Amino acid sequence: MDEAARHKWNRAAAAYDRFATRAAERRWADYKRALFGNMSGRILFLAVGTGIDIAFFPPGQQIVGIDISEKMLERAKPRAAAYDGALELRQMDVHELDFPAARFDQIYTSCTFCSVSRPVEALKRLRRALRPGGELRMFEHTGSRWFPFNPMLHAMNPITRRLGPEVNRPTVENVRAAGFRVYRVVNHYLDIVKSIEAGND
Amino acid sequence: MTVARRFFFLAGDFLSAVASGAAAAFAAGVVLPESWPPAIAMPLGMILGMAAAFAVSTPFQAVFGCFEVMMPSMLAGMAAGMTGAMTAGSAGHAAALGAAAGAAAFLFTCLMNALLRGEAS
Repeated sequence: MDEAARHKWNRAAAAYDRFATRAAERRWADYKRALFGNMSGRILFLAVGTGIDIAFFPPGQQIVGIDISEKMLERAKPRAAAYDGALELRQMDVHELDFPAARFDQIYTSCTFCSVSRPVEALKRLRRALRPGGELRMFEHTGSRWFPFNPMLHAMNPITRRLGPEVNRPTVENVRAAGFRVYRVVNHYLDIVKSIEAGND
Repeated sequence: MTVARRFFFLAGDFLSAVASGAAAAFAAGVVLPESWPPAIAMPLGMILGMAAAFAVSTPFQAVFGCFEVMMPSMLAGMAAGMTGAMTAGSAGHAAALGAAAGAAAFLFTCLMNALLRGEAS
């Protein structure tokens, strides 16, 4: 397990909801609801955190939610218990996914690959856990291709990575590098906050 | 999202950018001597401006959102820090110019967002 990541997110768990849910989640609610509204079949939800995204899940789904931080999962438990469907929480590092190959029909992530230490390797693990023809749907923030945002994000990254996420990740390119076919990218704010839809073809 | 909520968030983005710009230019105007050569004062002003903008915009992020607040505010900090480093006169005058730079940064970011958001090719 990536112990550095586990400790970082354990430390962040107490303040996470106060900082993340009040504004960012309200602002992104429509986008997340639309993306997660596509859920069907056997679903893996990556980095469930404190469970703030559970409110956007459509009812009646079969979902396994994983996170590297036990402190985050502890806070997610009441939200998971209130979900109108089957939602199992497990502590797991995405680099060490403990699922059989082709176990899931869909995999969802939410602001996850800003923090995963070896993103392409982790995406390859996800691809293995996804059945052929299965779908990867991600709500992520990434670096920007545009000046002046690109150098700004690179300049800020050494600070933000200490507090939590990295802000200059090339996540769309990483998804392709892991072997997925990216078939849709929708920018929600600049070319930074976006939904990525990819297939395991 | 309702129109009222959209306006609330945009107002927050704007206020954060203006406050960040004013703080960045003020800090650069106070810290960096006018006698320093522009080649040194401008990059130092930019770094100082970004640091000031980071500090000022963080509380706004908790209320109004993350990247939507951070991007115009940091851009304002960069531009206003350089402006403050090059401005002769009082720190108050520099802060006023920085606030204007913050408003311009907000408008630029809104324009870029209008161009970039939506389905990517």
